[in-house]
Amino acid sequence: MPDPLHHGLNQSRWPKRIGRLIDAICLVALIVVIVTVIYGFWLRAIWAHGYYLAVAVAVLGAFVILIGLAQQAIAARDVATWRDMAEWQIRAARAAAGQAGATQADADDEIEANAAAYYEILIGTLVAHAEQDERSIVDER
Amino acid sequence: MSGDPHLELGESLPRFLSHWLAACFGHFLMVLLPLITDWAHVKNATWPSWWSLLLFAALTSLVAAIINANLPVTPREMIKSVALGFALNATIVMLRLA
Repeated sequence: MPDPLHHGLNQSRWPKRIGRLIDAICLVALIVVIVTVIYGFWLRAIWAHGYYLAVAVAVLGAFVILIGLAQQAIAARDVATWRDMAEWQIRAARAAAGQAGATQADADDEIEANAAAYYEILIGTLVAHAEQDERSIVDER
Repeated sequence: MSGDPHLELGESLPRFLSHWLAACFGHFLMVLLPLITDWAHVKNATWPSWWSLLLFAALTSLVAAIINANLPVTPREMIKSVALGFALNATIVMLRLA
């Protein structure tokens, strides 16, 4: 089964800052292209008035492209924020569970479902299971 | 494990539409650049009607959009669609197909 992570475009060997710089340059180039096209249609519309409709279509298309880009950027940032939060939470839970496990290793079975540590140990166990599954999948390959 | 779903390959309708629009702009750029660089001389040149130009751009850009529909919507990938739209129109002009 192909792993989607290995088919993405985020396996770049270049530093992130260069990627962001190229993205910024490309955005400027894209805006230059759009402005040039609208300006060209406008020049044409001076002689053939029907082209004002083409100007309107081009402006509409430019808006759709820019809104789409902005929406993608916002969604990507939101996903990154959520991932950071979840990773922080998992790290904290594992640290707490590790501490609890060190102090009362034999009391694991008797822990109450209402105790705050219960969910931390639960998350720790889930994470451990997930990592185990992942490792076994990698081993199988 | 830090896979960003917005940077993964895969076709989707929003991607198709975005790249289609970008390719249309590339097509228009090829049509309009002579007008902008040389606009005093091409004033009397015969021009297609605006709707046939838009329809033609929409049709050729479909090819570019089908090819690029699996790329993410980032400025870097959109520029590639613009270039493909420009190149398709240039090919058609060179071959005098339209």
